[in-house]
Amino acid sequence: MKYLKNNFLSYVALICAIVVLSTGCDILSIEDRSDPNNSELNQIINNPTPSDINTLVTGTESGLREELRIYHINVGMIGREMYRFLAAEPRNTADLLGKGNSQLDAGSFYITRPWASCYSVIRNSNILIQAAKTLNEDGVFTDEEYNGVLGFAKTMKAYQYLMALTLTNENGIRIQPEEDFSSTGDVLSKADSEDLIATLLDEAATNLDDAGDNFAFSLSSGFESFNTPETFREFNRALRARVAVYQEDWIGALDDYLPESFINVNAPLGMGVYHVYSTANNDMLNPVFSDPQAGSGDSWVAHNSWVDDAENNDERIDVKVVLRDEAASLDGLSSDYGLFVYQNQTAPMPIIRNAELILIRAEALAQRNNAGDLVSLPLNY
Amino acid sequence: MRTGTFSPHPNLCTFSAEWFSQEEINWSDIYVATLGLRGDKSDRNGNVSKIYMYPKASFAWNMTNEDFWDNDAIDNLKFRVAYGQTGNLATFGAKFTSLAPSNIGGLGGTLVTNVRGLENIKPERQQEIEGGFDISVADGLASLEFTVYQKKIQDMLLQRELEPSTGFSFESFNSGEMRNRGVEVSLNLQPVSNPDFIWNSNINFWKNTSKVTDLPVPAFDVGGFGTSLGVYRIEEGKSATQIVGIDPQVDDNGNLVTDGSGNPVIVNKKLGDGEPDFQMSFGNDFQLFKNLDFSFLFHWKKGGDVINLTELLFDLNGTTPDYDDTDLTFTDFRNEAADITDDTPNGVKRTSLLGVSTDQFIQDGSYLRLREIGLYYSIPESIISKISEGIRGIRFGASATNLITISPYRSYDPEVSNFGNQPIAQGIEVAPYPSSKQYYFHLKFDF
Repeated sequence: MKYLKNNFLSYVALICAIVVLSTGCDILSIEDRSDPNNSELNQIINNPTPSDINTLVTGTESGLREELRIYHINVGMIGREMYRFLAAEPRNTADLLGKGNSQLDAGSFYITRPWASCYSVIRNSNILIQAAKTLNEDGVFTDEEYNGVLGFAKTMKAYQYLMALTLTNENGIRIQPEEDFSSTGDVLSKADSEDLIATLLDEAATNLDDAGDNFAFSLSSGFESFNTPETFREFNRALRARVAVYQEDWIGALDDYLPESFINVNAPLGMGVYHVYSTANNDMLNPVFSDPQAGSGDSWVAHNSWVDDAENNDERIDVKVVLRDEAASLDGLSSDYGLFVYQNQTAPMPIIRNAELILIRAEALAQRNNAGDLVSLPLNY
Repeated sequence: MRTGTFSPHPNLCTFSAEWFSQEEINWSDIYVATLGLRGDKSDRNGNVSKIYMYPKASFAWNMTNEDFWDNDAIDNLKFRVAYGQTGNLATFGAKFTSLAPSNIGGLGGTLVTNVRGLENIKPERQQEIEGGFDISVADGLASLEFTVYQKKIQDMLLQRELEPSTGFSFESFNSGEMRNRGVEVSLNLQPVSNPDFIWNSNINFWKNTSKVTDLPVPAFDVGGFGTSLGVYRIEEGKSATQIVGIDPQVDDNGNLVTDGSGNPVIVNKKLGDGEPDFQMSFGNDFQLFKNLDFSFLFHWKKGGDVINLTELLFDLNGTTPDYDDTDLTFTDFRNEAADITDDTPNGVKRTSLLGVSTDQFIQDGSYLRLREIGLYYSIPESIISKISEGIRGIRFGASATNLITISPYRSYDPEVSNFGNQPIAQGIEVAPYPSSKQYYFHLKFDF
C-alpha cells in the first residue's frame, strides 16, 4: 500500500515537472498588476475618463469635511466660545487654552491633522486639474468644460489654503506644486499667503466666466443653487470677499467682491453653500453634533461667557445652546450650557452663507467710514 | 515554487515566487558546514521580475569528536559561526499611490489617500553574523550556550512621515541602515538528580542594542501621540528605540533658557529609550518522589522606558494614588519652567509639566514577573491499576500565569502597549487592559 502511494506521488511530481517544462518559465513570472483595491493615480492622470472627473470632484467636495471636528475644537476653544471636554484627551484643555505654562506643539494632532487634510484636498484638486488637462488635450473635454473644472478646482484649493492659513496665521502656509508629488514650496508670509489665495480665487473666477452654462460634473445638494458656472462664481466671489477683509482691503470687499457674490439683504441669513452629511456608505456624519446633556468626560459645551455676554434680544441663546441639567466640568473648567449648534447628525454645516456676507459688509463699512456713520446704515437684518 | 496567499480581505492577494537550495557537508560529525541560497520575487516589490538573492552559510567545529580529545569532564564542546541574509517584503500595496472612496450626499467620489506609494520599493535585507559556543560538562550537570550577534538591516522598511503640505502624510520608507548587536546566554543546570529528587534549572540572559547607522532623510517619528506626549523617533546615529519629547531648553550650566518675555524655551530632546538594559529568565522544575512536579518561571526585564499616559488621565481627574504626596521630584529647570517646587503635590507637579515637558510620562518599565507557576501530582501506577485496568495515568494540579509582578512602574502593567507588538513603537500606555492573571486547575486521565 505504501509502495503504491509513493508511486502515485512520483507520478504527480512527474506531471508537475512536465507542466513546468512545457510552459517554459512562465509559471514563475509574476504579473505587474495595478492596485486591486483602489483607483491608481497614474491611471487617472494619464488615462482619465469623464466619469473619473466626476468622482474626483465629488471626492474633493467630500474631503473638505475630513478634519472639521478638530478644526472646530481648535477655533472654538481658542476663540473661547466653547469647550470640548474629553477625559482621554488632556491637550484640548491644556495646550489649546495655554493652561499653566503649556504651549501649542507643532507636532500634535490639533494642528497636524486639519493641516494635512487641507493639503490632501489640495492634492486631490491638483490631480483633478491634471486629469482634466489630459481630457482637454485629447479632445474629450471642450474648453468650456475644462474651464469649469479649473474654476471648481482652483476655488477649492484657495478655500483649503485659506482654512490652513486660519490655523497658522502669521506662520503662513506653503504652496503645493501641482505636478510634483514629492516636494513642497517654501513657507510664505501671511501677506504672501493671502495674495496666493486671492490670486487663485481670481483665476478661478476668470475660468468660470468662460465655462459655459453648465458644469460637466455634479455637485452635492450642499451646492444647490450654486452648481452652475455662473452661480458657483457667486460663491467664489463670496470667498474672495472674506479674503479681502482678512487683507483689510475694505474697498475691494465693498465695491468689487460683495456685489458679485450672492449677498442679499432680503434673503434668509442661512442661504449659502454647505457641507452636507448623510448616513450612506463611505459618507460622513456631522462631527460637531453631540448630545448637549452628554457626560462631562465626553461633551461639547458652550463657554459660559458666550451666554453671559449675549444681549437681551439675542435669539441665538435659545437655539444654539441648551441649559444642562448638570454642569459639565473637566480640568478645572466648567459650563452650564451644552452646545447645540447642530441638532442632528446629518445637519449641514455652512462653508459660507448670506449672514457672513452681510457681516463682511458691515465690517468693511465700519472700517471704511467712521464708526459714527454706522448708525445711519441699514443694519437691522 | 510558486505560491499564492490569500488573506481574509477581498482583493488582497499577493503572488510571490521563491526557490531555495541548500548543501550540507558533514565530516565525521567534527566539521559541519552548510551553504544555502534563496531567491525571491514578489508582486509586492516595485520590480516584479527581479529576483532577490539571500545567501547563507554556517560552520560548526565539534571539538569533542576530534581524536585528540581526551578530557572526560567535558561531554561536548562545539564552536560555531553563521552568516545569513533574509529579506522582508513591503506591506501589500505600499508601491501604489491610490485614491479611495469618499462619498458625499449620495454621490460616489474618490479622494487621494494620505500614503504616497513608493514605485520602486524593494525588500528590506537583513544580514546577520553570529558566533558562539556550546559546552556541556559532567554528564549533563551543566550546559551553556553562548552567542553574540550583529544584525545589519539595509533598506529599512518603515512608514515615514512626510511634510503634509505635499498632500501626503506618510510614505513607505525604504532606505537607510540600522544595526543590532546583542548577546544571548543560556545556562542549563541539573544540580540534583536522583530517583527521589530531580531539579532542572534554566537561566537565560539576553541583551540587544540598536543604532540607526545611516538615514538619508531627516529624522522622523514612527509612533506615539505627538511630541508633547512622547514619540519614538528614527534619527541617524541614535538608538532606533529612542523616545523623544518636549523639554525646557537649558544652557551649558543647566540653567533654564527663557525667551524675551520670560517664558521658557521648549525644545525637543531625547528623554528615554524603549530598549531594556538586559533581560533574564529563571526557570526551575522540581520532581519529588517521581510523582510530584513543581515548576516556576521568572522573567526579569531591567530598564527600558515606557510612556505612561495612564497616570496623566488619573492625574487630570485627581485620582492618582500618590496625587497628594510630594516624594516625586523633578530637576530645577523643569520646576522653574512649570512654576512648581519640590513641595508641590505629585499630581499637580505632573499636570503642571504637561505642555512644558514630556519627562514625567517617560518612566522606567523594569519588572520582575512570575510568568508561570505550577504544581502537579501524578497518582502512582500501583494505585491506578487497582482502580481500573483501562486507565494508564491520572494527573492533577494547579497552575497560574502572571501571578506576581514587581515593578517601579506607576501604572497597571509595564508590558502592554496601545500600539500592540510592533517593531519599534512599543511601550506607549494609555490605560489598556493589563496582562491578565490566569489560574488553571488540571485533571488529566490517560487511557
